[in-house]
Amino acid sequence: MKQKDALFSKYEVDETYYDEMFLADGGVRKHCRRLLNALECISSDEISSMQERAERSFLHEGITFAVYGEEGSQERIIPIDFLPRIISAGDWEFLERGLKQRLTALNLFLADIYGTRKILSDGVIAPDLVLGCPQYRIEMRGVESPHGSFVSICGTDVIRTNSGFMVLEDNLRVPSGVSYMLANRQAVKTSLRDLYRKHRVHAIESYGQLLRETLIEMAPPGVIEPCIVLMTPGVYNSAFYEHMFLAREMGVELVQGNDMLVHDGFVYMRTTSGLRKIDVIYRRVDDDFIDPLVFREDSLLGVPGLFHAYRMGKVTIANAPGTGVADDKSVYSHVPDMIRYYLSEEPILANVETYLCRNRDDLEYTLDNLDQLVVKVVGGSGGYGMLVGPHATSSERAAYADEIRKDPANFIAQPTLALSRSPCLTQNGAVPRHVDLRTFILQGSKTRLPPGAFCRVALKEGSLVVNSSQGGGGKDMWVLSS
Amino acid sequence: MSRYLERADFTSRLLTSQFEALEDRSVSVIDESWRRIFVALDRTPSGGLLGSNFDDDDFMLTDAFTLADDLTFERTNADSIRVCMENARENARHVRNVVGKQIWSLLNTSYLGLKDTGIEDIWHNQPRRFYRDLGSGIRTLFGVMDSTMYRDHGWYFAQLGRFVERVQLVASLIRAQYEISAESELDMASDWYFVLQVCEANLAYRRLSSVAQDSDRIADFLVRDSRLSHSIGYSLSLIKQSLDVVSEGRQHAAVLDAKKSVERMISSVNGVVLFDESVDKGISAILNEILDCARQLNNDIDQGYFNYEVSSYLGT
Repeated sequence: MKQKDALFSKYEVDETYYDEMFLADGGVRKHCRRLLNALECISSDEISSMQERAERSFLHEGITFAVYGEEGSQERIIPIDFLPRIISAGDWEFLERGLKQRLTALNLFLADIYGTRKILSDGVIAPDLVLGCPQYRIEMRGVESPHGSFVSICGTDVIRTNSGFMVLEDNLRVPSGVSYMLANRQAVKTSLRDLYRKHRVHAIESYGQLLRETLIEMAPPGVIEPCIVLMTPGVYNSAFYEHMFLAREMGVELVQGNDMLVHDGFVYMRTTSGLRKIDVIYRRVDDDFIDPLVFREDSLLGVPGLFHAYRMGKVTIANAPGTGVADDKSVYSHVPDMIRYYLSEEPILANVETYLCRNRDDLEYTLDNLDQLVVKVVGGSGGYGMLVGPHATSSERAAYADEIRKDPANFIAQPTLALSRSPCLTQNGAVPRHVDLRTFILQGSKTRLPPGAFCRVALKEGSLVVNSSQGGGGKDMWVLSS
Repeated sequence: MSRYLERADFTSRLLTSQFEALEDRSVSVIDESWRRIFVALDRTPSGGLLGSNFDDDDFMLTDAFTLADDLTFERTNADSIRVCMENARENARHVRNVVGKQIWSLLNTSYLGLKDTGIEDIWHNQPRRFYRDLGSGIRTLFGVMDSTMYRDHGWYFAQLGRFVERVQLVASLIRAQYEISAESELDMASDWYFVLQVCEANLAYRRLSSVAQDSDRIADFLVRDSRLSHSIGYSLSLIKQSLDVVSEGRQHAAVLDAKKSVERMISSVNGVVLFDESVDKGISAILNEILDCARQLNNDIDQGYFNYEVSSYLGT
C-alpha cells in the first residue's frame, strides 16, 4: 500500500482493487494527472464547503428521493461526492460499443420470445427459464414494437475490476438515476468551472432531447408529430423528482393514470381545454400497475384499456410491458449467448460469473461458499433482499441458506466482486471508496448513448453496496473527449 | 398552489398587523382584534370562543401565544400558514414540470424554513418580523411567478386561484370588521386602519381621502376601487380576464356557470351604494352574495376544467 500527499495524504492504493485515479504502484493514471494537480491546489475545506453548498441546493431544489420506512416516508438527497471520476476517451469508446451491442441483442431477444421463440426452440436458453419467469408477460405474445425496440430506455450497471469492465445488471423496466447524473454534473460544473473547462469533458445536458427524439421515433406508424407524455405513479413515488425533471427536460406533460382514459381504442388525457390524444407514453409505472383490466386488477395507478390500445398499435408504451423478463437475474447470465446467437459477435462487455441456484451443481456450490458469494433474489432490485456473504454473520448466512433451499430457482449467486475504487472526500481528506456506473442507453430507430453515467459510490468504508436506498451516494463522471 | 400562497400571505398580513397592535393597544381592543381575525378566517380557536380577562395582561399574552400558534403552526388547522405552505408545495410538486426552477426553490426554501419551526422559536425573537419576512417571501414568490411564468392555461389558473381566494379573504375581513364593530361596546370603528393595513391600502386611502377614517368609505374603497391591488373589484377584473382566456371555445355547462358567477359578482360590486341609510344592510348583503358566488365559482372551475365528465367531449 502506497501513501500520497496533501489532500491525498491518507489515500491508500490497494492492489486488490482497480483504482480509478492511481496505478497499482502509486503513480497517477495519465488521464487523471490534470485533475490531481488541480486538486492539490484546493484545500479539502474548500471542496467540503462546495459539497455542502451543493447538497443544500439539492435539498432546496427538491432533488430528492423518498425512502419508505417504519416512520413513513422521508425525502432525502443522494449525497454527492465532489471529486469527479474520470473515464478516458478510449475506455468510453469501448463501453459505448459494448453497451450498444448488448441492448441490440436484448431487444432482438424480446422480439423473439414474444414472437417465434426461436432462441428457445434452438435450445440456446432453456424455455422454462424464460416462460416460467414471473416477468414474462404472455399478454405480449405477437406484439411488435416500432423499430423492434421493446426497451427504449435501458439502464445498465457497469463495474470495473482488475480484469476490466463487466456488466453487473441491465435494468430494462423503469431504470432511474439519470436526473442525478445531470444534477451532479450541474453542481460540479458550477463549482469547479475552470477545471471542468480545461478537461474537455463531453457534455451530457442534451439527455432530455435525446430521450425525446427516441420517443418520437417510437410513435405508432403514420404519426408525424406525436403527443408524448410521461406517466408517473405520483408525487409519493420515490423517483418522482426524476419523473418531473424528465418531463420538463423533454417539454412533455407529466400524467398519472387517472389523468388518462381509453376511448375507441385510443388513449386520451384530460387537459383544461378538453381531451387530447396521446401517441407515446414513457411510463415510469411497473407492468403490474399499468392496466387493471389486464394486470393487477387492484391497481389504482393504471388506465383501464391501455394495454388493449397498445396491442392495437394505437399508442406506444416505452418501455414495453414484459421487458422485465430480460433483466431477470437468471436470464442475465445468458446475455452473452444472446449476443452470439442474434449478432454472431463475441460480447464486448463481459458478464459477472453467475451461479443459478435452480441448477443442482450451482446450488451446492452456492450453499458451500456462502461466505464468499453475493446472493440475490432473481427478480429483486435496489439492493434489497440480497446477502453479501463476506459481510454477513454466520447466523444471517444460515437463515439465508434456508431461504435458498426453500426456493432455489428464486436465487442466483455471484462472486464478491472487487469493485473498483475512486477517491472520495471525507473529513480525513480523500479516501478510496467503491464505485460503479449506471449508464443510460436509448434505442428507437437508432441507438444513442449520452457520454456520461450516474456514478454510484458506496460511501461507507469497505461497503460494496452503492444503492442510494442503502446509503450510497453519487459522483459526477467525466468522459474526456480526447 | 397560488390560492394556498394567497391565504398564507393574507394570514401573515393579519398577524403582522396584530403583533404591531399588541405593542401599544389596550388589552380589550387587542382581544376584539383577535376575534375579528378568527371571524374573518371562519375559525374557532382550539380553546373555544374568545374572551379574555381584560385586567390581566399576562393572560392576554399567553392567549396571543396560543392564538398565533393556531393560525401559524397548527397542523390540524387546514388554514394555518404551515399547512397552507405545505399544500402549496404539494400542489407545486404535482406540476413541477411546468413550474420554473426558481419558483420551486423559493417555495421549497420557505416551506423547509417553516417545517420545523414552532411558535416558541419565534415568540421571544420579534414575532412581528417573522410574519413580515414570511409575507415578503411569499410576495417575492408571486413576483417571480409574474415575471417568469409562460402565459398558458397554467398561469391563468394560478391567477384564478389567487384572486378568487383574495376576493373571499377581503370580503370576509370587511364583513368581520362590520360584525365586530356592531357587536362591540368598544369603538372598533377606528380599527378600520387595521383592515386597510392588511389590504395594503393605507397609503392609497390616505392619499385619496381627505376625511378621517370612515368605515363606509373604506369599505367602498376596498370593494370597488379597481386601482387597488387588494380590492375586490381589481381581483374580479383579473378573474374575468383569466376566465375568458381559459374558457375560449368551451361550451361546457360548468364553464358557462363559472362565467355567470363572475358576472354576478361584478354586478354586485358595481351596484354598491354605500352612502345611504341602509348602508350596513347593503354592504352585508353584497359581501354575502360575493362570498356565495366565489364558492360557486370554485365548484364550477373544478367541474368545468378539472373533474369534468369526459362524455361531453366524446359525444357519448
